[in-house]
Amino acid sequence: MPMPPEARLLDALETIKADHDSSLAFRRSCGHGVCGSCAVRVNGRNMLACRTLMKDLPHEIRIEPLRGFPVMRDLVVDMDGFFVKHDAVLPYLVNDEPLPERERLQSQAEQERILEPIICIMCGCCSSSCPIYGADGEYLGPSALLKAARFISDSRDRAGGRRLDKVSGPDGLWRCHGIFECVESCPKGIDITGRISGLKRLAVKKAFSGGKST
Amino acid sequence: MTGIRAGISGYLAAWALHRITGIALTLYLFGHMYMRSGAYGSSAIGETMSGSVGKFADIFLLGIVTAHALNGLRVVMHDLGAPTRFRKPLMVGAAMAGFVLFALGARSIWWCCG
Repeated sequence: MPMPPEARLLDALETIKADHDSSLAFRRSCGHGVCGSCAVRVNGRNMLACRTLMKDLPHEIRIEPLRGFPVMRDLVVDMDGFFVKHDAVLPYLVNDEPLPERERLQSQAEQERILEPIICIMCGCCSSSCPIYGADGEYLGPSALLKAARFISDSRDRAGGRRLDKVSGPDGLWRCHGIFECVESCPKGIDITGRISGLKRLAVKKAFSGGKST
Repeated sequence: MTGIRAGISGYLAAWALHRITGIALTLYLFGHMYMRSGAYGSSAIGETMSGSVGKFADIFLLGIVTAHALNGLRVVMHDLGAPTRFRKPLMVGAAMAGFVLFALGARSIWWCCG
């Protein structure tokens, strides 16, 4: 099926559904690289269909559902387990201190520490591309670990130690072997392996300081 | 393909190589202990290892050890804080250093021993 070079892969999927096979199932929502719904595997690499131009793809392409997740139908995968693993790392701000009159302030430097991980759209490209995630169903995966790193690095959060204990278990940090597949496949270019390595150093520091760090 | 790469990345291949060489080294250790236990005979060891077969075996072992050690060193450097943006230079550097060490070591084994 020929497509113009400036068309997106998502346009191609829409064209297939509209003109060739209306039974084709795939996810899409924003169409602008923000929601993370349209992540698919193309010629062995994970990417967002809405951010991939046809001119950047070869003449013939093979589109598959993301690996590492149960396939529900066509390109639609079941991501329940993925989100359950996110829940395990407390993916929200924890702060029991009295509420300030206005917002909880951060300095410029404190904000910059979380600028990179907060752009994660939880598309699942990273976890899907991780060979450990695919082989070990219990492994939290790069996405959940990145989420943990995001809140542990947040100056307003007060559950860093608790969160670090959660990700330091046998199914967490130490299952990451620094393969960089998550970094290679992240459509937002987030340094996920670097963040996980940072958590590893923090966990070691905490262990050797008797649990006093973070 | 223009802008997007396909298939297995070098990093995944390096990870697989690390596992394969790790398993090979573990198996080698058992073989080594068997030969050193006396069950094989000390004169038989000398004869085997001084010939071409022994030299090839040593060179093969050197290749496995070099690949495993330098790949491991690369991963450790990242764990210790080497930025992810240096992953390609570190990978290329480890491969080149491994190749040079292997070539020098193999040359020494082939020409100087036995």
